[in-house]
Amino acid sequence: MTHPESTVLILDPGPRHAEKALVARVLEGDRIASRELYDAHVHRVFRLAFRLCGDEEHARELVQESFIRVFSQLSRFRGDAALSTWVHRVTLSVVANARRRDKRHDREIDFDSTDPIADEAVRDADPDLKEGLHAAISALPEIYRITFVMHDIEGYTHPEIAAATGVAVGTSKGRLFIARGQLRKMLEPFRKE
Amino acid sequence: MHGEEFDNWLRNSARGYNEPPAPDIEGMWAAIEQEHFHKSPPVIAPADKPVAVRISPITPLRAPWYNSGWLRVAAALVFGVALGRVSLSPTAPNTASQPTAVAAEAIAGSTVLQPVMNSPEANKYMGETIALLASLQSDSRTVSRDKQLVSGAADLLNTTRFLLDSPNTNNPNVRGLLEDLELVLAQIVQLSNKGTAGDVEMIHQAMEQRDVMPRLRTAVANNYSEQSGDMP
Repeated sequence: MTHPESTVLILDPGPRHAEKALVARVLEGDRIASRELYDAHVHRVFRLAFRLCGDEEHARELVQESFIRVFSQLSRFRGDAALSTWVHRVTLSVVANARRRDKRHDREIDFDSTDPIADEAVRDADPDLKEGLHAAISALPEIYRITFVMHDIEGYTHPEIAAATGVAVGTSKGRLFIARGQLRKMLEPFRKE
Repeated sequence: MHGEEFDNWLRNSARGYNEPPAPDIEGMWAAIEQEHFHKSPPVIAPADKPVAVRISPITPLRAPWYNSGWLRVAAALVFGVALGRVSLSPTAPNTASQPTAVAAEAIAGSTVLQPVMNSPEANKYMGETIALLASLQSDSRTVSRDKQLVSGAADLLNTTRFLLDSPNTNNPNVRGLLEDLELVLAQIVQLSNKGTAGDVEMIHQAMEQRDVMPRLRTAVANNYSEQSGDMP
């Protein structure tokens, strides 16, 4: 299956040496270069942040915090991976921290099990299958939700997801498999209708 | 639906999950600039895009440094001391009448600090910075638990940024030293979040590569000798 967005969803936006030059300019305090870096990544970072939090104001805050952290920690970027990978890793870290802070989502960061209450929410959701699906995605444990959102919704590849989440490619594939399986299970009542 | 059919349906239907709106690029950039660069935001629009500027209300992620009460007092103190030095000095007319650029030119190539920096307060700041950097342990767990060290670094970071923003800090050598200190101190402050041994090692490496400590000590020594020479 092809993703319409996938042609523009390439993590490495340009030659690596150009990226290093850009980073060097930013570290020298070049404000224009900082803006270039921001422009190169902000769209994808915002899309991912919004997909994961579902609230525009919250997504804005996450993006702002992510880039502030990117700029303040850029000296740590060694260039081993693409800058976009590093930026996404920072973003996911910011998102995870925000969700930990948000007590409303305490249950969702339980990585090992689905939430029975969330399961009920799925069943009680709008009988429309898509509404049920969206509720089911929200009810996924966080690591599976991130993997599913990045791969099946935003079109990231497994190597990209693995690099951004700091796991092996096989782990990313396994998480997607489990995510789909849990969605299938949670959507069972709808599929029988 | 079974197997691949379900997966295909899943991918297609999930696209509507938290469908993102168009991002407010300029508004977010303004907030980032204000927070990170401590400046009012000049809007830089990409040449190939129409300028659609919307400066939306910005919620700072934390209070800006210049809102700190003690820092205002410190700023006033430093400014007052600098002003006093200029106005009370026997050579005041000459000093006051010459532009700062001349003074900067005179000390170009050295790390003698500028009028505002060339004060007991500046020496105190640099002394405290040297002490803090010298006490930086290589064990990141010790550093991240050392709240006094981290809060001290945060205070010195604020002072560094204040000095960087000072129009009198126009000597490139001084600016370079302060910018390096800003980077090092910022990294130390961030150790309180999730510092690793690698992070501390990187700070040490950065300090060594940039000769931060020798430059700091030289600056202090030059300042003291300057001040001693000024005495009647």
